[in-house]
Amino acid sequence: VSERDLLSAYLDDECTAEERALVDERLARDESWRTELDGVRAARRAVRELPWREPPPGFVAALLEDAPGTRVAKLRRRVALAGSAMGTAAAAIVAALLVAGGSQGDVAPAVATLAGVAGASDSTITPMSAPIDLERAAQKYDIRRKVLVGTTVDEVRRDGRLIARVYAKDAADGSLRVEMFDEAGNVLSGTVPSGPVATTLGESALVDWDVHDPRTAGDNFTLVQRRVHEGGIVELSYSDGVLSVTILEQHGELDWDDVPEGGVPAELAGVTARRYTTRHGDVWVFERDNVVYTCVGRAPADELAGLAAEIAG
Amino acid sequence: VADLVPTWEEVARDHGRFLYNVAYRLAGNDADAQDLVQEALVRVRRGLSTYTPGSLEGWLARIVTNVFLDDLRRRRRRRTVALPEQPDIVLPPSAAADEAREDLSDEVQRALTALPEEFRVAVVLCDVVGLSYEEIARSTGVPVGTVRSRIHRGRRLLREALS
Repeated sequence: VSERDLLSAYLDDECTAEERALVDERLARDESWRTELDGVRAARRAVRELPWREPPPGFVAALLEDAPGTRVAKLRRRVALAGSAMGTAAAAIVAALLVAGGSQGDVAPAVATLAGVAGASDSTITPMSAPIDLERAAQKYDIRRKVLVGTTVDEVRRDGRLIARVYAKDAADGSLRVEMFDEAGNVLSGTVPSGPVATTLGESALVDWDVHDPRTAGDNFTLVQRRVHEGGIVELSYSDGVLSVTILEQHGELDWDDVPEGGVPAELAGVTARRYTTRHGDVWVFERDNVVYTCVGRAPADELAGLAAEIAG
Repeated sequence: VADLVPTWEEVARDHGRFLYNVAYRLAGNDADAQDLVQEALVRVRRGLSTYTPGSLEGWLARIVTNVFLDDLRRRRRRRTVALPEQPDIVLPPSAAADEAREDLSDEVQRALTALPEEFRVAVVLCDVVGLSYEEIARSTGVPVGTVRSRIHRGRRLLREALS
């Protein structure tokens, strides 16, 4: 412990009389000590003056509704654990889609188990968060890099609109965080991308119907992964280098009686759909040519809708 | 004593905002803060039976801090994606006016979020929650001397980032 570490304790009145005397003595004769004291005082003030951060409207009420022990709370907790790949609320919608499934004859939208997700013991799929590829993203976005206390921050913008911030810490653990923003500049999600670094395509032979899996879609999105889950549910992951969109495909007719409540009827390229708007982004459900599609994404609404419309059309 | 122990509903109703504020300062974003609060309240539910009346907010801050640190450890076990090492590859210029629009508190939060986690936890518990060094030491399981050092070095890094 350096003697100078005493400066903050001195400021906080957390040192002994002996230590205080030592600091007083150093301050009296060493300007660098005085400068450092002024610096940490300013930093302390900046943090103490941070405004109280209010949760989103309805958050506390939702906590009370979801008291532990209820089925909903359990579901959300599980989703929250799995939620690094997408916003919790959007993940909850997907989980709700699962819960709603099971009617005779037709297909209830989405999905099965995603292996390897902590806490996801049953019937939850967490769409992949594609690896960040800023070089590729630079084809579509303006990217500006800043360095802040050993952390590199890349701001990703399009036409001046902030799309995402990518935080990467220096070498130690290489951890990386991405914040996505909606059209109003609100944070859609704060995530740590997971999943394979390398692009992987495969497993198409595991289903006996024609999967609609174009290699490119929407605005510069590329297919980066294709997986098949239990029950023949195909998961397609698209990325534009920053945003990730996942298309879940199931063979069969969509059972409209079996989609969860909360969404609104909508239309995508002339196809009847249902749109769920969550704080973390949208979820689209529709059917085309005997395939049921569920589209979710770590992406602003317009990007997701554009890609979903292309699939639907 | 039982009367002094809040129910889970009282904690969620009366201290949910407090938990969220602390969680946000630790995590730096809304989605993670909400997840931290949810998980913290699960632990509160389990821990209320052993809670000894005292500084309830100190106890809650300790729980949400532990949830945050556990979450970090879990994330470190997953991951990682490397970024290009040459900034020039991805650095098209953009409007200088962008920075001017950034709110000061956002800048402080970003600097806070960029601190090493152990420094960030110490600074948040001291300057956001208002715990004493002794309480922070108990909460984080490290000696008071380490708390001193973390708070000071955290503040020094913040100062460098904000200057």
